[in-house]
Amino acid sequence: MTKFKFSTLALLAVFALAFSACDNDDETPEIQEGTVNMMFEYTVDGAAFDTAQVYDINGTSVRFTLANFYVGGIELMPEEGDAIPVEGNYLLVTPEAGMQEVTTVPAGHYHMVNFFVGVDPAINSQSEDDFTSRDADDPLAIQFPAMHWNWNSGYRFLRVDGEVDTDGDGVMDDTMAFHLGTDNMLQNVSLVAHKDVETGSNMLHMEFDLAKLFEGVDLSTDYVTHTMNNPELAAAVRDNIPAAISMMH
Amino acid sequence: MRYFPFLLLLLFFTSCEKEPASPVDTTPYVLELPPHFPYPDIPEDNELTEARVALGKMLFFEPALSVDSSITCGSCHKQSLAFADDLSISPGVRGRLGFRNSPTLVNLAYLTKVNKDGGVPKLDIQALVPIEDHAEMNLPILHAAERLNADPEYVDAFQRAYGEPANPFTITRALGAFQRTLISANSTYDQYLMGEVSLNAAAERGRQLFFSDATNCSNCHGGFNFTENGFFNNGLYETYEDWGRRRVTGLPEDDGVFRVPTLRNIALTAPYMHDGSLPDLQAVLEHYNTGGTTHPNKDHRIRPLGLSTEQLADLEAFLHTLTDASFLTDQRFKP
Repeated sequence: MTKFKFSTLALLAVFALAFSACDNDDETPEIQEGTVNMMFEYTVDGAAFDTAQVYDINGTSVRFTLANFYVGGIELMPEEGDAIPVEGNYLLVTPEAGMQEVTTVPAGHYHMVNFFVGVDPAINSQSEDDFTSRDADDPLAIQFPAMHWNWNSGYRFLRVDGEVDTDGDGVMDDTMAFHLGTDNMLQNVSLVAHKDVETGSNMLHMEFDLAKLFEGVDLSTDYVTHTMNNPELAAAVRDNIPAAISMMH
Repeated sequence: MRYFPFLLLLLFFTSCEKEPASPVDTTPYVLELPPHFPYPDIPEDNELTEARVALGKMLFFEPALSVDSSITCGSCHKQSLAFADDLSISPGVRGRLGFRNSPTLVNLAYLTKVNKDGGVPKLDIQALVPIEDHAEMNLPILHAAERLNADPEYVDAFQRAYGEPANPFTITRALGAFQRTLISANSTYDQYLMGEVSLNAAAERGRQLFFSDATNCSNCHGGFNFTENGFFNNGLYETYEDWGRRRVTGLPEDDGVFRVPTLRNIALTAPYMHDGSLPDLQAVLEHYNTGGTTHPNKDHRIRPLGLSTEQLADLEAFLHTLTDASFLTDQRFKP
């Protein structure tokens, strides 16, 4: 019995030695990482966004029914070193989407966040993977309400629908539709973040102001674009996107 | 008796098992083609199988794909008319009118860009257009999937075809698979090419004219399918209400530019042009004989031809030889 115990112990000791010999003697400190989330707070000239609310934008009464857009090409700029890209992660931003997980990065200070509103040309072309071939939980899969065009296969990068009072008589009398898509509607956004990412969950909280999105647009007359039928109006809204999105904290 | 608890357990688990799903049927569907027709490229993710083609046919004639279950794909694409329609603009749900003439669906397997403006990059997602378009079937594809998945017959058919339920992918692929089988390759002209028949004198004169430099017809309508699938402005209008390919590209040089359609079964697909504005073949031939308008994008090959009335009649006689009578009654394409 004693002999058995001794041999067993000896065997265990050899195994322990073998495994401990493979251990790295230089203990690498564990990298501290934090999860980064994004949230877009919808407002209209500072007021909370509400689909039941009528807003005055540039003197025209407007009610929104839908205001969705795609965010892609996200990258975080640390204090030092190269930008950290978030490969292939798209967000479908809606008023109800709330906080959405973006990526996990080393803890530290990040002074900028860059992204684009839209979908990159390779994906937008639909020639390889297309919106029908994606998993249902992929934001780039077919959505309802639709964020895709079927007749000109590609995504609506930004879709804002609603009603507009064109003659100022207090009655909403026409349908508003801003559907921005096609490659040249992709809009880069670059924001100063000054975000200290800590272990655990972190949030980049941004404001999306629809009044700023329509800055300089007379919504009593110019309230419909499906991009190709009114590219100038679509471009005016596209150009307003960077000003409409700001970092809250 | 000591095995009783195990038997009970076995019974418990077997009673909870779902009905086994139908296995995927991979029996291939092979297109029958004459020697002068190449075998079309078939996408790897939608190989032709009997089950997929059968499902696609069910869907093609399925009213539940329209919002009020009033129309099917077959409402505007009739087999007797080479899967085209005889109206300038075919009505969609609630009689809504779009703005383009219903095209023939023959030989779609060879198309690279789909629709008259080429806005859809592949046949396998084209079905989204008619199903979702407000003036056609007006049903979001996700709603269509819900409807189909509530029908046990479709649940089984989708499982056998793709091993998954109805969804945007399987619905559009199945319709693509069926449409790829709509091969028209047995016209009088095909029989002539294979030495089985000869053309009558007028059709033969028309054939020679068609392929001559005097008309340039075959420059655009060339090849086994009587189209090179190019996009051109044929000088139909000075100002285009329908921008054509410009609607997709946004480029002024694409204003009034449309895909060159196949001429197979052309005698059956009146009215003609993208908007169905020319009522018959005589009007079409007259348009090309006069050389069309002076639109800046008009293709240089569209020019006055100076053909006589007899020559125009000969061309028309030749176009009639492109009718494939057997295709019009092919049982494989019937509901």
